[in-house]
Amino acid sequence: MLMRWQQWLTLGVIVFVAGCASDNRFMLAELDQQRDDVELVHTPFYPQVTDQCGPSALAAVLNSSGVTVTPETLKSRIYIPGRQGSLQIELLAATRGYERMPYLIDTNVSAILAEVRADRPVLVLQNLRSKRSPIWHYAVVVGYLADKKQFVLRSSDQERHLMRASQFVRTWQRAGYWGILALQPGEMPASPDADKYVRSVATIEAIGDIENALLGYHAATERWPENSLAWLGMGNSFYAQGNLDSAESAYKRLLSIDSDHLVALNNLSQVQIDRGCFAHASVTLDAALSQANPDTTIYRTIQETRRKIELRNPSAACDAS
Amino acid sequence: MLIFRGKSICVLAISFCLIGLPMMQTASAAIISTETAIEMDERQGRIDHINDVLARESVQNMMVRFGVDPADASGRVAALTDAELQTLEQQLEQLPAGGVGFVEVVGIVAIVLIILELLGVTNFFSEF
Repeated sequence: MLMRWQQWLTLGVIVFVAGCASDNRFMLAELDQQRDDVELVHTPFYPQVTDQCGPSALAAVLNSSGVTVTPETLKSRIYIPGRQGSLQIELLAATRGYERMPYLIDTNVSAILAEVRADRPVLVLQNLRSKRSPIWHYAVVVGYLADKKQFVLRSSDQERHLMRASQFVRTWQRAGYWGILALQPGEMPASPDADKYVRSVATIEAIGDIENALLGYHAATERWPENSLAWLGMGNSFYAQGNLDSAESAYKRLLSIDSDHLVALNNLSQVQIDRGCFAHASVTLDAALSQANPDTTIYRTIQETRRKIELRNPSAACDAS
Repeated sequence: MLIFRGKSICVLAISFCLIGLPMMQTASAAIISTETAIEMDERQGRIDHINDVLARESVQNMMVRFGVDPADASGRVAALTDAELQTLEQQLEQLPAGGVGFVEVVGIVAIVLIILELLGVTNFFSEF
């Protein structure tokens, strides 16, 4: 009886390991292309205090990005005693709090190593056990030894923890391949994804750090001049600063790329209203209303604005072009 | 006592909303924020505004219940975007909380080995 139970257990272990292996085979094959060793020896190390790997790992990444902060300070921002750890979302929030933009790493090991080679350590989440009963752990990837196929991590109480590539990939996979960079405002990652980058900038704007958001939007529009969301974010950020001229040109730039962009038309009309240019605003809003689907919230928003300015004198003097 | 506290927080939050709403409407008359524009993309034009004030209050309370210093909790909640706030409100108890160190892992591995040994699955220790 016991024998049969043991056989099932062995079978289960084999199936489990095989399942992971098939998912990760591609990644491990990619690592074969890494010929040279890389190691960021200057990335600071903060030995982990009890269950606070989050503050230690985040402090390492932030400090190497030029922020001076200790794990003790970070503890009050990201540690949750009742969960005996730190949540990913709060790591993102704390990174923004130190004027750095968290950028989610692409879900492959080559992306991690590309960043390390560009002098940026990568904070990763690992699951050191199984999906069913996870042990979550944050560590910082600072290097890779190509010959030995080992990752170099700042992890726990080890300044230079060497982990076999297969084991690293497995623990990272079980944590959903989650990892972040802390970018300086306007800094680009090694191979940036436009949508992901601009959405990260938008989170900075959303929490009210307009100055740094603008640096991000500038970098984004320079790299991807046709990206609608980057121009919209730039326009909205300038508007938040009360800079109507720059907001208007950003919205207009967006409309030159996408003349039907309803949000841009709506927001441009608001700039025109603020200036007292009600006639211009009416034209902009009518253009929007002719495009929008009457069943949507945005249609009703635009209609509402249009109604408001009808109450004003439509021929009010306006010196804007 | 607890129920009373919950109720008074609700009343406070609702009154905040009632006072806040008309003010917000006049202040940000018609600019559609970048965050809302992203949400609209994702939801094909539908805007389900979360009740920001209530969500912040609720996440803050959860944090305090999980041992976060109340003085820190308000700042931590203020640093979250609406989308993040919504995620935490629904899943603060289930989301991965990275925290463990290798000492614990080594300990757990040792316990597993001992259990396997006791069950007779392995004979690791008897080799010594």
